[in-house]
Amino acid sequence: MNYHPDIELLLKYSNGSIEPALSVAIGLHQKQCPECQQQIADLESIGGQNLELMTSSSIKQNSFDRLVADLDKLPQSKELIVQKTNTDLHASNVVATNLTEDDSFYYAIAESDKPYFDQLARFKHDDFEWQKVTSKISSTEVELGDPRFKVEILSFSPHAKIPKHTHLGNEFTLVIQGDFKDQRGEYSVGEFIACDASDEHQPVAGHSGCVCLAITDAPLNFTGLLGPFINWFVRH
Amino acid sequence: MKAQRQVRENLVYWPVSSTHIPPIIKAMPDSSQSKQELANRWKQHMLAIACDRDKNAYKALYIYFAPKIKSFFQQHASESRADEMTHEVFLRVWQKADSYQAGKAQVSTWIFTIARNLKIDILRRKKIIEVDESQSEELAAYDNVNEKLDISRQKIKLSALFKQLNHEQKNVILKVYFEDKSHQVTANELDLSLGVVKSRVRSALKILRHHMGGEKS
Repeated sequence: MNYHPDIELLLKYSNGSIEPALSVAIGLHQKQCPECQQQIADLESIGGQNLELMTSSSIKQNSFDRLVADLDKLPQSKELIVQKTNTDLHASNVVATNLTEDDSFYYAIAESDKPYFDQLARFKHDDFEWQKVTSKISSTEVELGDPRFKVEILSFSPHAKIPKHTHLGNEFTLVIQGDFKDQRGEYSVGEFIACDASDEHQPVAGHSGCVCLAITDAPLNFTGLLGPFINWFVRH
Repeated sequence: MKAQRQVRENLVYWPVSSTHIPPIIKAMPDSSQSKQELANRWKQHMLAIACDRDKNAYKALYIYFAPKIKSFFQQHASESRADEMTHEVFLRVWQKADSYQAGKAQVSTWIFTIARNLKIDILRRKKIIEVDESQSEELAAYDNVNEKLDISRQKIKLSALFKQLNHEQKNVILKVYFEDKSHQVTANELDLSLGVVKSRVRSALKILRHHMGGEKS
């Protein structure tokens, strides 16, 4: 594994301020990357130490009693385990991540991100509605609840060439299946590749084809939604 | 199992009668050995919560961590909202106690991830992505993060890496990335200009990036 998210992305991932789409891509990467797992664990431990050093806010007198009263209303942990199994995360058709039994990962991610991981971790070609881009490339858009990025799964036939292109903004790619290469290197399953506007490249899919999660800034999609963000672009 | 049981039978609860910080913590000298002792105590408390559903251990944990968690949430939330969120964190602590793995993480780390995930859930639920000036700038500033990193990266521990940062840089990184403060708030708290904060963040990230083995090419 040679291509990893940058330290800034890992910092934002570890403290929960990362954009949802990137959170999923980095999550899928780190699942397969022991180095990044270690670094995220380290950052979380720094977060824990820092939490301990925070100044204490005052807690209301009766708040613990209220808490204990609410404990009895919670579903029992056994029910939770059943729920978890039902999500069928570890189905045999898992391609995206070569999942092994990995409960600790599942516990470690936020509840609201789980459906996204499930959707991608159980990636099956037929689950999605594909659009032909060229005879060798198809794409499908994925909803990750993130208006800031356009998220697609791209599927390339063996040896498919993607026309030379630059990027308008940032592009983050996670290899889900197969591999591809460009002038700068070869990328295999789980690798996280970032490109910005200065990069020009011409990717070519490997001999068994390639499926990628591609996350791009899509300023055009923002019209009317995120004024400040667009304004920033206009001003600079 | 027997060993664990013995540990829990001998469990000395931290003072649970008041919401003040237990004096033992204040008295703790700042050495790594006593930090370790402290951490081990919380592990024993968690074990008691997970296996015995021990409410005294739970209360001790609450008294120590709740004021800090509340403070963590108050960066972005009103006081009453921060109270609610702290409440929710502790419901999750109780509910998920058996997923805590003492061999893998400190209790503070585990609680931090629960608080962080709750923050994520709430942000996502609101479907609000706050885009303020500094965040847009950060987004645009995702450098060429495509770095081929060498093998030595595997051996580097980030926490050790943090020691490469000087006190000022570390302070700024902790506030911006772990306490979720905007660059402006960080500047106000540290009595610095916005420009200085931004340049410290940049230089700190550069150092971390450099030591991780991948400088922007």
